[in-house]
Amino acid sequence: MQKIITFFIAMVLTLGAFSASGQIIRRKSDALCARDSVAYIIVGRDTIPEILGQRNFGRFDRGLDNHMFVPKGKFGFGMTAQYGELQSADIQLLSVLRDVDFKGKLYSIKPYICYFFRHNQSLGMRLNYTHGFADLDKVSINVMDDMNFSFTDLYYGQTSMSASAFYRYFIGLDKVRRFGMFNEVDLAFGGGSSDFKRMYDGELRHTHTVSTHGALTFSPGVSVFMEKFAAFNVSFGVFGIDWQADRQSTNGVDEGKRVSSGANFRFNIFNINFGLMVVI
Amino acid sequence: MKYKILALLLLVVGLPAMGQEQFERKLEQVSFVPKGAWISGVSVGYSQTDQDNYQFLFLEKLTGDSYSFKLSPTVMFCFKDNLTAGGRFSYNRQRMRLNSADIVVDSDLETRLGDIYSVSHDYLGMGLFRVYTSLGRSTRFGLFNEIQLQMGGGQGKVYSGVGKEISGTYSTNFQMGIGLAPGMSMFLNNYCAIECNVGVLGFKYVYSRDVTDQIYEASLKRKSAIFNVDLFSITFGVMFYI
Repeated sequence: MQKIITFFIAMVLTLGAFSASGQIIRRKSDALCARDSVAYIIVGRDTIPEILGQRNFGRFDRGLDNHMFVPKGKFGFGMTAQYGELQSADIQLLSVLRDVDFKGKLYSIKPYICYFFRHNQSLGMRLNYTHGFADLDKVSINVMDDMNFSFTDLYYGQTSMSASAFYRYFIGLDKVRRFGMFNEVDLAFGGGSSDFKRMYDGELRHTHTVSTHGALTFSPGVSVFMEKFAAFNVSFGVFGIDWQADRQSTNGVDEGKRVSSGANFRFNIFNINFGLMVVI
Repeated sequence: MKYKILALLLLVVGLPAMGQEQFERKLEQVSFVPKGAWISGVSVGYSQTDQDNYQFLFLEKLTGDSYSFKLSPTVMFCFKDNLTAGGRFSYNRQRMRLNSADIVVDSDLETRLGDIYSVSHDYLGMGLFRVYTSLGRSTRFGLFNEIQLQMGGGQGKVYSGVGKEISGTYSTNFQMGIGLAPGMSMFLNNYCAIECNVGVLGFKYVYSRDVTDQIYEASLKRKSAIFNVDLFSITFGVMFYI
């Protein structure tokens, strides 16, 4: 938590230092004739203004320009992946947990690709595959002398897949084109399954759950070009609508179902995404 | 020797007078939020679940539904450059209905829950006063100091059982407080900004009263004061400056 806050403060101060220049806030009607000149740049065969036009729905003009950040026609792609594995045999934790035989694995891969159909605006697609399982062969729990029990042969596994389409609108902060901010809208749809197996009264009880989910997320973020072709992105989940439906069967017999949905319009500190983007 | 000391003193006194300036902190400030600007924002949260004979690990035959809803609009007006005043109202409502649930750890360790219902709502009014400071001459990044004066209350009830076996508790609460929460503001464009603030100083008073089965009464009073950075009071938000 403290690392995230420190990083956030450092990032804001760095961006502030780069973007701090003599600016005056004017009424929107007065600002139209305030600009002296606009620089032009050559992109491919075109000569275009270095500052892109943007709509102002407010009554004041803060002099915040949208500099060219990524020109039209470029492709951006990136990927995030994670892998973790844990295995233990006869582990003891104080006198409460004993004989812990556990095996678990979790991996996920999220590639994405996007195309800049206009200057600073891109459309893209993201895939997400996550698989994990936890296999508990044996564990003994001793709370008191007359209160102890043990579990054997517990298994929980989950696989989920989703595909999403997203739109990103970048705002270039400086003429160097190193720092930018973006707004992202992401519409995701996917499904998955999970299995929970355990012994009950000497018989195997297997609960299989099939899930379908959808989500619409709005996330602002910050992008920093470390190299000419590689940028580091941080995005923060701010607004999201999600929906999920589960259907369960136990030992092949249809049993339970669950529907959940939610909407949030507030900053979610646990939904911060870091990633690399290569632009060619 | 005397002449040497005198010469040294003259040198020390005379040197700084050559082309040097008075010590000054040179903190520049621009009109970060101009007079006449309206600041508004809203925080909305909603969630609902509905389960029928659902199983989650050791929780089996879970049947019931729940929802929660939260709305918190904010409006402020800039009455002088970089000085704003306004208010925030927050309403929170939640309901949970658990028809049945079995906790099955093992064949000889099972327990059954059921017929539990709870509903509650809370409302809070907050007066806000903010002083903005720009970071240098930037109109994109700025700092602010927010004074919060809050007062609110709420009601709730929870009961379990059916028929003559029903037992319930009705509760009311009242709270008031004053706090200081500095923060940072980052403008995405001319009218939209992301904000983050953290509580560093505050006093809070909470009083709640419970009545169980319309007979047994219980009450709780809590007073607290903080004068340090409270990491759990960090709030993020999006505000519109129009």
